[in-house]
Amino acid sequence: MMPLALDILLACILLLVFVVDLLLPAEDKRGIAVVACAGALITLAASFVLDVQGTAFGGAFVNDAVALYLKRVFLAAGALGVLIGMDHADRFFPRRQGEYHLLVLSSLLGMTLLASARELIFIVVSFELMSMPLYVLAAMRKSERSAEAALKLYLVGAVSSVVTLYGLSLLFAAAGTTMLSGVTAAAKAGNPMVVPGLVITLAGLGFKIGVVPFHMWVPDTYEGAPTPFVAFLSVAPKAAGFAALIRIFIEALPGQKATWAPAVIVMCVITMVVGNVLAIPQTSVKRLLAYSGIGQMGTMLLGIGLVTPDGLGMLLFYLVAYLFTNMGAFAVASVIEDASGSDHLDAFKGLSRRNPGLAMAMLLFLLSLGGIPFVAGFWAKVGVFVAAYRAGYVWIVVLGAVLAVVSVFYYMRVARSIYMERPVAGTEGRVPMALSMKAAVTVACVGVVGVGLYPAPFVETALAAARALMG
Amino acid sequence: MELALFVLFGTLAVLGSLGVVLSRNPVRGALWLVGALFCLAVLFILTDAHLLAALEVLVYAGAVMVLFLFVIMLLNLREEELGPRRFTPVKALAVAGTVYLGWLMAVPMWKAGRVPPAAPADYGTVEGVGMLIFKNYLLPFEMTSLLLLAAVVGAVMLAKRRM
Repeated sequence: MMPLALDILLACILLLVFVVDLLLPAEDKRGIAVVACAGALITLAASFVLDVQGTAFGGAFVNDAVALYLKRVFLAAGALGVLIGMDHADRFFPRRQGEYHLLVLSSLLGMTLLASARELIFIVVSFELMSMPLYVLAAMRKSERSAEAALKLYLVGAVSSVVTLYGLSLLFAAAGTTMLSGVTAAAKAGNPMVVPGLVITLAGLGFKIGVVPFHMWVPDTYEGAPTPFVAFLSVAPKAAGFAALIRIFIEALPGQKATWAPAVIVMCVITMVVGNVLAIPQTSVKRLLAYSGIGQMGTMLLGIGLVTPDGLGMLLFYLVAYLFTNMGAFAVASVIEDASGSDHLDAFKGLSRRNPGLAMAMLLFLLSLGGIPFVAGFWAKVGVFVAAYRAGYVWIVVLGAVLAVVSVFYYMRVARSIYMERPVAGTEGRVPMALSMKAAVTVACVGVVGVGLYPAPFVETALAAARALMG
Repeated sequence: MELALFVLFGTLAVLGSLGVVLSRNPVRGALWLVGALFCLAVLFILTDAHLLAALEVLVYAGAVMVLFLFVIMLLNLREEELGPRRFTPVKALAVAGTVYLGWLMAVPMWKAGRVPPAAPADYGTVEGVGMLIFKNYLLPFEMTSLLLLAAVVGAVMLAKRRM
């Protein structure tokens, strides 16, 4: 089977969505979301059935274990993202929902290609294919805040793309070829252009995944953009940023780790501290999740900074846990926001009486984000910190444990609003949920509990992929 | 001769870029950018990339900049809307950062000081670039078409804000 099969399948589905959008009447376009979601799921299933391992285009495109693992993460996030956005799109921009799902799929295609990219131009183009639709999606709602969120995302995205491109151009100057294998050879030969190139590339990609000191855009964008889209934005593009980091730094430049690994470790420690501390005073749940997400990014970045197969494997596993947990949490926030028009902590008060099932789900996601035992997030955090311990970073493990306690404090503040407080006057009624949203939250819950109770297959696949990459 | 031309147009390109950043009036900034792009085209010619030089002038200095100017004139910014010129610590930091970064890169470039490998015979010709795009870089090239599709869909949707 040809290595590109999955990506071509996804591209065909993207074009199918385009055609279906034209065929459906303007009044009822809900069918598109079903096609888009089914398409992502079919591609996900195909990744298990078809044999797509191998390389194409002279090694520029590679489907190794890591690429396949990441592709599955992206496709699962895409399918769940479409499912979460289905009802919201139909209610708030019914005539444009075709475009919404089309753009989600094109961003998804950029990510699946990025996971396989082992050539500089290919990396840049797939990064743009991923980012460009995101800017538009952030501006879907017809409000000033949505426009502001989109503009911030766009400006930061454009600048970081340029910075990354500049860094990569220096790597090209060193290698004389755009293949990453050439960059490895140039680094081995001690070409002096490699170091500035990788430092600038690291800064550019840092913007993309929103680690401190490049994190300023995250809370504002999350607050203003449509919440179901934020569920997707907070997980899939970040995972794609890690895909690029893995390809460029871990795969191509492991010999230079004395240069970049300390910088990454410093970045991830600062990110963990700043994200978790700034999350404490937040009263908007979306902003709180944004800052906590920054903190989680810091923990995940540790998997890159350790430069060990354990660390990388645990980063890959963390992405799965984070996918279900964070997308679930934003899905619940979206339900609340659509019902009450606000994502303030007050809107969550008394949720246990207004919709017990939803309250239970949110509690589960918060526990998983905080890393409480026997849900997905626990194993992810433990895994990363055990890998850090084995690599000799005991002080980071201690710091991580302290910050985990801090994070439990602010996550439980949300849980307390949900369970301990009375609903604010005027919001006592039951919180309604569309069928698609029920399905999405259920899937996320099953994912969080399933990965929490039975993490072994995910961990083993992730570790095997990481070992295969790092030898 | 080649070195003299490189120094001349390289300096002009840097000055043009500085003009873009420093000019208050956006129309003037755009015109500076045309100049900078033109100088870059000359640098491309000096490296034997003739097709790229032609495209740079036609597409960037020509088409794209005309659109830029159109948009700027449609926005019709007035002098008082631009706000007073201020010197802030952030700007000083940015300048210092740029200088540091420049130094960081200039030193290894100076040390490297190597002659790059000789270019293949068809380098920079229409045929050579065409072969590269449709053979080595076919996949990114095809992806660009999807990227443009997504960009067009997005642009139309944002421009047509009727729900």
